[in-house]
Amino acid sequence: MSEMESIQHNDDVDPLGAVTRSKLHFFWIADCSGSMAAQGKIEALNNAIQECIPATKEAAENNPFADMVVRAIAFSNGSRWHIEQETPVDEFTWKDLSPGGVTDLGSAIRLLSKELQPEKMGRRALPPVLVLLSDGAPTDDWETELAAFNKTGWGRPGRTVRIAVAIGQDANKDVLATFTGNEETVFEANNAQRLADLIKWASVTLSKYASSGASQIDPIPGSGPALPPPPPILEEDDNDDLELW
Amino acid sequence: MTSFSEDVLFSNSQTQGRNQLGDGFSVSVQGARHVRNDTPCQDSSLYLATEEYVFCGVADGHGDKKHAMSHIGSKLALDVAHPILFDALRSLTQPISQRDWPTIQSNIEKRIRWEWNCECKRYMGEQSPTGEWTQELLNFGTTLLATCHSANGTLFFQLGDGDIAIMNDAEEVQFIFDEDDDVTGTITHSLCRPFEENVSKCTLLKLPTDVRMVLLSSDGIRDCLQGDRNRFSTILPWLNSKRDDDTDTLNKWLYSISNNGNGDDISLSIHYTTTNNDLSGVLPNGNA
Repeated sequence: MSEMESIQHNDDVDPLGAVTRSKLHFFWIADCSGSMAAQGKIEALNNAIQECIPATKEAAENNPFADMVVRAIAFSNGSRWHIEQETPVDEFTWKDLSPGGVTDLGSAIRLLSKELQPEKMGRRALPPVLVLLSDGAPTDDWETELAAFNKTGWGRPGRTVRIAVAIGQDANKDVLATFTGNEETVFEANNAQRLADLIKWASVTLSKYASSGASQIDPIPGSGPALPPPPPILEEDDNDDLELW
Repeated sequence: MTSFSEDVLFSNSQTQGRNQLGDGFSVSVQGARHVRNDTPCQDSSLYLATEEYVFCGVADGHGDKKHAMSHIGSKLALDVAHPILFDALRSLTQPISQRDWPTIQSNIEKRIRWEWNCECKRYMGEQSPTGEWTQELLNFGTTLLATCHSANGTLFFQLGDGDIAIMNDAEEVQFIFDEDDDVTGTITHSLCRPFEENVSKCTLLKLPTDVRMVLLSSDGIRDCLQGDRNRFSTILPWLNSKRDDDTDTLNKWLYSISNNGNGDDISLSIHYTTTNNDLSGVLPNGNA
């Protein structure tokens, strides 16, 4: 066995000391283009994420087998990390985003892809949750970036949990469905209350779903995703007093 | 050292045995998440020592609602695997060319899938099932890691995630198969998918004479060690040093890993070799 890689051992050390909980990576990917300024959409997004923090923390506390960490990307003219460091959910705070510029979704996907590499993430981890929030149509070559991402270790189908929230009537749902891989995982938010419901569902329910740890098989062609159902549309969501986007 | 205070039922299954090739055992421990959620251990494991061969196997049922019968699927996988692997091992007495090996490997996988499909269908009540894939088989989804040891050598088979490793007298550890490049996260190859291409790994080896331990493990332990193979490899000498401990202590240790880690079920099957046969000839190494 001379060719074997020799590994140093210390018999006095119990391997149990190296045991850790699984990490759940959660990414907000938020559209900050100029159109998000209209009708209070960016304020609604900021408020919704702020408001979901307590419930997300509570859900994370009740899950003893996973450590949720949050990051956020903002995109408009290009993209940037809004929260760059992996932030444990119990330390997570949200700084408001400001709108302005175009909708460079491709740039955001490229930024995300650089992080979701096996070299950085390892090969064995819980499926990262990617939540894309957008009200428009991309202005850059997003298809090339998405195609490249989808060929990477973590970008292949089934390796991540992806949803998209179409904010308002002008959001290009086809683009969002291409990002998530399925039109059933694109959800419409046509007012502030619905956006808040969906954001809370994504951060609480989806993170719980993604941290279940159950093994997944490669998607069978023709079979859709098996995500937990989204929150029902309540009567107050259809309230005439709420401004429709 | 670890101390244990949990007072729970740990073991789902446990087998042990001994013959002229060595001795060993297998164990499946219900994961802490499964205890918490009152869901069964979906893993199965088997150590079987007959007059002619030793079989070691672990099978990891996938666990979520799409695979609700995976605790059955994992048991059936081990039931069908050991006679198939032994038949294959018995027939592989002549030198095998590298050219022929992919076909042999493919046939082993196809036969295991076919028989597993049949057994799952029988479990569902079919009287004379065939092994064609049907949608219902997704319910039984499981991985399968197995070895069959005889005087002819050792046949290693792996379909899905987990690790098969060997350790020699000097406590050097070697993994039999490389990790899959296309598998990340919680994705795994599975017996429950239709046969599209050869996704298993299979190799036939004459183990070097200094090999003392062959370990098969579901992903339960490694995933609690950040998926790190180097860290995982440290458990082989550690387990070897605890060889004389009682099984209850081992079960508690495995449960503690799960409880402090990701809560998954954990399965191990370990064979301690005692053979001193002349094992210098090495048969083709498959796709190891």
